[in-house]
Amino acid sequence: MTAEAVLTVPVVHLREWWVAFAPGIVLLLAVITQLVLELTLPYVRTNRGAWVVPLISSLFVLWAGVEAVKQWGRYPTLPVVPERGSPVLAADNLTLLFVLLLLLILLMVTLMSHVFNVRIRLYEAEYYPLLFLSVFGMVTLAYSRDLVVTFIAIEMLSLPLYVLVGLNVDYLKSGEAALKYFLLGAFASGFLVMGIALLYGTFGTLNYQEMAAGTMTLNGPAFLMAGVALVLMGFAFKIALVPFHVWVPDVYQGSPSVVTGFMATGVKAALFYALISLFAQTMADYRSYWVLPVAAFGALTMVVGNLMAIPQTSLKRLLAYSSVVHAGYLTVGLVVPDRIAWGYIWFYLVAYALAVLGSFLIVSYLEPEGKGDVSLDDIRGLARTNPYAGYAMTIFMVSLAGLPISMGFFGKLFLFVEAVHAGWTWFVVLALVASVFSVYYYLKVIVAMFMDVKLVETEAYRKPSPSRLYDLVYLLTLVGTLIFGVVPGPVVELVREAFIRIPL
Amino acid sequence: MTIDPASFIPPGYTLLLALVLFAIGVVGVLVRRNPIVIFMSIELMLNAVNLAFLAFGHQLMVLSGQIYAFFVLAVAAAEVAIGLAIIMAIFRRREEVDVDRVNLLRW
Repeated sequence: MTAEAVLTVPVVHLREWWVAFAPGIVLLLAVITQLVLELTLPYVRTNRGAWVVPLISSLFVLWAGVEAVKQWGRYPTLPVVPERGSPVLAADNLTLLFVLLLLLILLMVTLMSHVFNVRIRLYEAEYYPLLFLSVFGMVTLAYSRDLVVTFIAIEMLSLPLYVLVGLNVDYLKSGEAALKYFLLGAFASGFLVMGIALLYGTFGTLNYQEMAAGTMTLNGPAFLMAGVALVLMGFAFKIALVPFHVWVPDVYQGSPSVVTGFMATGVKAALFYALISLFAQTMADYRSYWVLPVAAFGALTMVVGNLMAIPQTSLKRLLAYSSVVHAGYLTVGLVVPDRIAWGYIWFYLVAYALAVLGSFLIVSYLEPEGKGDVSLDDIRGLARTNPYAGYAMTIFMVSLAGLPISMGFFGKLFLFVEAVHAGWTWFVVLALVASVFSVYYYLKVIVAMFMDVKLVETEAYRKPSPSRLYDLVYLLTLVGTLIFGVVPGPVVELVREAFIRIPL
Repeated sequence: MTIDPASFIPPGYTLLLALVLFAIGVVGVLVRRNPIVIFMSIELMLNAVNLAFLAFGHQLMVLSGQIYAFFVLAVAAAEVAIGLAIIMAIFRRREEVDVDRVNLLRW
């Protein structure tokens, strides 16, 4: 390679870059604003003024959402050979759909956090900046078109999460969860970055477009195989595929409930998009290297995750294993070499995020003081003492199980139909059998709420909802799950439109 | 000033060293029980990755490998800050950090 080739710097118009990455920048502005408010206004640190920061933060999230919508249609799909250089950060329409999903999750988590944090006396000054920094990492990950940026973005979303998990210092299990998550997470990122180094040794570049356009110039297929395997291990840890799922139940149970809801949805959405853009799009020419391992991980995840979920008695652990199993279903979309299937991964993740956040909303206000968890015994007879929560929980469980009249049903339907068309029949059959089995433990929750007699009573079990903010999140999750469970058309149109619109 | 390329250590040797260091790090994480030592082993893994980046950069005769090593260093430093803080927080609460004893959460 000549010296000139090395020194050629792609021309990037700075203003264009700022505009394209505006959602991320707005989130950073939000972090700065939160920190300045916490430092300068003593009022926001009092119990009466604690609503100020979440309110202003929600406005920032809406602003970021508007900026993301404005980018819509600019590049329906990224050009394979870009006009000016290979971008490190770029967004096509699918990216924007995922960014909007992340912002929706952030908005709901911000709305949920306030009341919960006051109740368990979580110190809020660090909470919101950490939350927003983590989502900034996720948005960067969605924009990333370079493996180094991908690595840094994954760390940027993980590091604040390690702290958020352990933020509840009064609760011994919270610290333990943070330690486990951190040690295993750092271990997994070691594998990830070693895999990235090996891919660098294979392709001679880490830019997605140069990787896709170039050939394996160096060192041969053994390096590629090892690199793909190690990168896949790093990703499998983060999205909790069996056998890298062992941390999930412990960490999900130990962390504050709202943070658990955030982890279960946000991390999964961001990492799945990273998997799509790295493996399904960039390494499409090297499918034989990664498709079977991904499918094997997915199949193992569905089987083992379901078996482990069945004996659970803690609601948070049950939801943790449920999130493991859902990662397995999502890999079905990943192995299909078709953009529309990746769009349906997004659809599935929306359904999943609504149902999971709704469930954790209920968990977060039902959990007894100082216990940090809700067991199946605790929710016995809930449908009678608190029908509001009982029926909502039923709908979320139905959606997670993928039964009809819920968004989760259509999520599975679209994904599996695409996979059958692509010839993955055995995989889909396995996924269907797995989801039939999974109905058992979701029904267990419903049965406990409707059939059993109440054992313990606390105030939370009677009050419909402790706050208007909770009602708002209820409304978003319930209405979303139900309406798109009956008429999924508009969202599907959005997915289809994402790929066919002509660039402006 | 010109440097004779023949005087360089061949990238293959650097890479081999990197892989050996990485393996030592992995074994260290799996075998040791003290979180601080586990953490040191993870750092060893990351440094092995840096060496691998340098080896490949050398093989390609480009600078980007060395630049990536700096990114990994920065991330490793951030991980140290967070990790030691978490270990300290646990130690203050329970006066011990053996990973086998940190076991309130069980399947």
